Order: sequence, then structure tokens, then C-alpha cells
Amino acid sequence: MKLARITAVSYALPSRIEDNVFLVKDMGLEWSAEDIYEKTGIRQRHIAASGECASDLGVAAAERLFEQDRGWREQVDYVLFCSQSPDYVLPTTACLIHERLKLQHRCGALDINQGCTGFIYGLAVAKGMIEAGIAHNILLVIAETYSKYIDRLDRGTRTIFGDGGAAVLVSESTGERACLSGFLFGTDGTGAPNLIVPSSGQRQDGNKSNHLFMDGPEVFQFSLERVPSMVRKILELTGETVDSIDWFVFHQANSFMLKHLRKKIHIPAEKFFLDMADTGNTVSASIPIALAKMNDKGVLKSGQKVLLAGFGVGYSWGGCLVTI
Amino acid sequence: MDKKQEFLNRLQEIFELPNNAINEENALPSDAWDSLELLAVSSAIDDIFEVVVPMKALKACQTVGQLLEAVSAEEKTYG
Repeated sequence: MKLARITAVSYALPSRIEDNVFLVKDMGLEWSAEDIYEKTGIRQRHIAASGECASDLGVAAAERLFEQDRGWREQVDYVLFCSQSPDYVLPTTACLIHERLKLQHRCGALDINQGCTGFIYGLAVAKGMIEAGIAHNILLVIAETYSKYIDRLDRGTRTIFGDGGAAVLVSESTGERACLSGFLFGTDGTGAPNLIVPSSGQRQDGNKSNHLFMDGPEVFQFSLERVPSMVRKILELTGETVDSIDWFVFHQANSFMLKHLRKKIHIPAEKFFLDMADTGNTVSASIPIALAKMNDKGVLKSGQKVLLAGFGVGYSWGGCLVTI
Repeated sequence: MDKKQEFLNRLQEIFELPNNAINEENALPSDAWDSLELLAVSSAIDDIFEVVVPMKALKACQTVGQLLEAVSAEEKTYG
């Protein structure tokens, strides 16, 4: 039986850092650096340089991944790239990544446009392709440079978002028990205006600024309404309980929201991975970056069960269970 | 402590008011509804009453009493 599993994960961040002290000065905020930390749980965020794009971060993460095993580069037969800040409208950024990584010509390449739920979508597509026999080793690259959309004076977004990229190798394995299971997705397009970059495609939205707009309280309420029930359903679907799950890794949106969700779902703090102080909210890259950090810290062990949950722009939500 | 009193205490913290300075008749501070206060109040309502009051309804509240009425309406709808 063909089963998909996560074989490796790595990440890369831009070298430029904007910490809270810098933001207070640059934006002329009344808040102190410590106020920003208390409100967001973020001390600094990595910001892409002017010529640095999502593909650059994705390629850097993938090169780090290939350092773990030199054979993987040749084995990749599909590259998926998830981002809402692609290098171009066309061509497909996955094709650019394919070229820069010198992957095989027999390799497929596809972009996925999804935000905070993007990693879950990417895993689901990779699992489907592998278990259907379409591909055997899929390089899932996730990278965002939301900073390029942000109004430099908007404290509601500039204090929250950071740029980053991750690369995950999803490979075919054999076994009896699925390593990627319990996928669940949901959509509510009525929330689209609450997290949007107006006039960023072919539709021109009147006189609206083309900077990232986020109605934080509305997005928070959407999360309260959708995430706890989604987590409960994934637990039901997989026959698990909060007790039997080793780790809960949610989209690292902001620490206030995550702490509230953790309490609401009754997840013990020691099982809930929260690590965004040094990176901020990196959108679709936040979950794989968290997984890579956990792996680097040595806290992820073989056989452990990790429940992932993504939620946000769209509105969109999705989750799944990963067995390490 | 009953839920209402717990909620009043939380509002007092959120709006940084002196002890016992809040009751149902109080008008909400005029600059109450910036996004951070909205988040905090919404979070407090969910914590204490286990309901989510829609943002439009929250933003329309001008007094503490109206906030409690909005909570009560949600409890009746979904309770």
C-alpha cells in the first residue's frame, strides 16, 4: 500500500531583521517595543530585501533540505509551491524554483495560491498524488513575502507579519497506517474582504489602497468560531483525543489568538507549540517553519502524532494529523 | 464569582479603569473600540460566557449594559 509521509523539513528566513525597537522609531508609534511584544508575542520579524522574492526564500530552504541527503534532488518528481506572493503572475513560480534547484525534467511543477491554510492544502495535494501513484517524491515549497504588501505605517499588519520560506519532502513509503490523515477543510468567502490586498489582480477595487488590509477582530472571531470545532472533528475522524496527541501545531497567527484557542480547546500548554517571537506571522510558511524548529530542537520523535491546523485568509481553514 | 461580575472585572482590566469603577450604566470609554480592545472584549466574552458576539453587534455597544444585552441575545440564540 502506497502511503505518503513527511521525510524532511527545513526553512530559511531573510537576513534583514526588523525588531520592535526599530518599528517604534520607524513608524513613530506611541507604543513601546515591549507594548508590541505584549500585544503580539513578537519581538522581531525577518523582512525580505527589495529584490528578494518568495522563490528566493523557498530555494534557500530547499537547498538546506538537500544538504541532509544529496540523493533527494534527483529523486524529486514533483515540485509544489504554495504562496500568495509569487514572483510573477506568470510564469508559475514552481517552474522558476524547478530551474534554480536543477530538478529533473520529468518533474511536474504547480503553484498553489493559499494563505494561512496553504501548508495543509499542500500536504493534501502531495498525499493525493503520491497515494494515487502520480508522484513518488514531492518537494513542497512554501514561502511568503507579505511585507511587500504592507503599508509601512499600518501597525496592525506591520507588527504581525514576517517573511519566510520552508521546504518539505513528502515521499512514498509503505506501511499499514497512514502518516498523513484526518484531512479536513472549510471555506467561507464572506470573510474575503477582512484579509485582502485590494486591486492586486485584474479586479480594480476603486480607490482602495493596494496594501494588505486586515480586520484583526473579525479574523479573530472567525478563528474562534471555526478552529475549535475543526480540531474536535479531526480528533473524531482519526479516533484520537487531546490526550493521545503529542503536539498541536497551529498556524502561528499571533500569540494572543493562539493562547485563547489553546485554552478554549483545553490543550495543555506543554503540547502546544508556540514560537513566533523571532519570526512573526509568516502566513502559509508558519506551520512548516514551526515543524522545522521543533525538529531542530529535537522535540519531534518518531511515531509522535502532531495535529496541524491552518486558518485565515479566504476565509479558509484546514487541518490534519501527521505521524512523524 | 458570577459570570457578570467576572466580565465586569475583565472590562475594568481591559479599559484600565480604577477598581469598582465599572457597572452596567457606564458608557464605554469613547475610544473603546480600537481593534485591540475589540479583541480583548471578544476574548473575554468567549472565555466567560462561551459565546461569540458578532463584531458588528459589539461595535454598536455604547454602554456596559448594552454589551451584556448583546451577550444575552447570543446566549438565547445558541444556548
